[in-house]
Amino acid sequence: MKSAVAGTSRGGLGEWLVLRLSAVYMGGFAIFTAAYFTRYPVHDYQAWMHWFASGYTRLALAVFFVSLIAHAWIGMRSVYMDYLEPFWVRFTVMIMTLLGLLALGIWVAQLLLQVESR
Amino acid sequence: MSYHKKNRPVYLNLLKIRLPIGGVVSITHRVTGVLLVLLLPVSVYLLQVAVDSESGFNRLAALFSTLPARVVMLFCLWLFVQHFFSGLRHLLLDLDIGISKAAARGGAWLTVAGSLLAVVLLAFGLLR
Repeated sequence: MKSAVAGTSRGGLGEWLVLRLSAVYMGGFAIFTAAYFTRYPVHDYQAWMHWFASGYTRLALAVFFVSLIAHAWIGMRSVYMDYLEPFWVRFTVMIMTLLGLLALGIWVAQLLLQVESR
Repeated sequence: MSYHKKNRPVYLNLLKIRLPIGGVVSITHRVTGVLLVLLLPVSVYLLQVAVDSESGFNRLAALFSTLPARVVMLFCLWLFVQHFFSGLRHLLLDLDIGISKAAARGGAWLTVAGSLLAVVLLAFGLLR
């Protein structure tokens, strides 16, 4: 049985799609970034920040982390729904995961924006 | 909730259950995914240190030039690559590619072989 907390009534297909779209983006990002750093190795802080501080990089990273958080939430949730049995345990762990991912998102947002404000 | 728990056969001796390779890869996908999520705070912390200051960046560069740190990094990379390949397998199965029994088994083996090969190649780059 799907409980109200475990998902909305229309959750199924949307989550299925978000899980896969985020996977495709992150996979593409990983391959592209790995290839880029192989082609242009980063040897010092200046080169590193030249890459990181670029608007394109930080935009791509922002999309990456949004994908990552959505992907992690959907994945963790389906694991919880399969293995965490008493409802209150599942509920508590889900809330903690959600808060953790939210905190991570805020942390990443300030990390990506702090460069601009220097 | 409890009605179906009563009369179903229970045989959960894990040593006697032989999971087919597709099952092994499937559970590995979950385990690696959970571990990668648990590694997230560490990853973002490392990113924060690398961005915050030149001394932080240099400290990380020095840390990741040591053998133990590289072995740990290699393991984390394996987690990612295995999750990547088994995820790719899921995407292909969604597209009806490789869903016959033999192909699905072959694909499952291929994700393991691919991730191990990638780790060996990375090891040559990282551990030399």
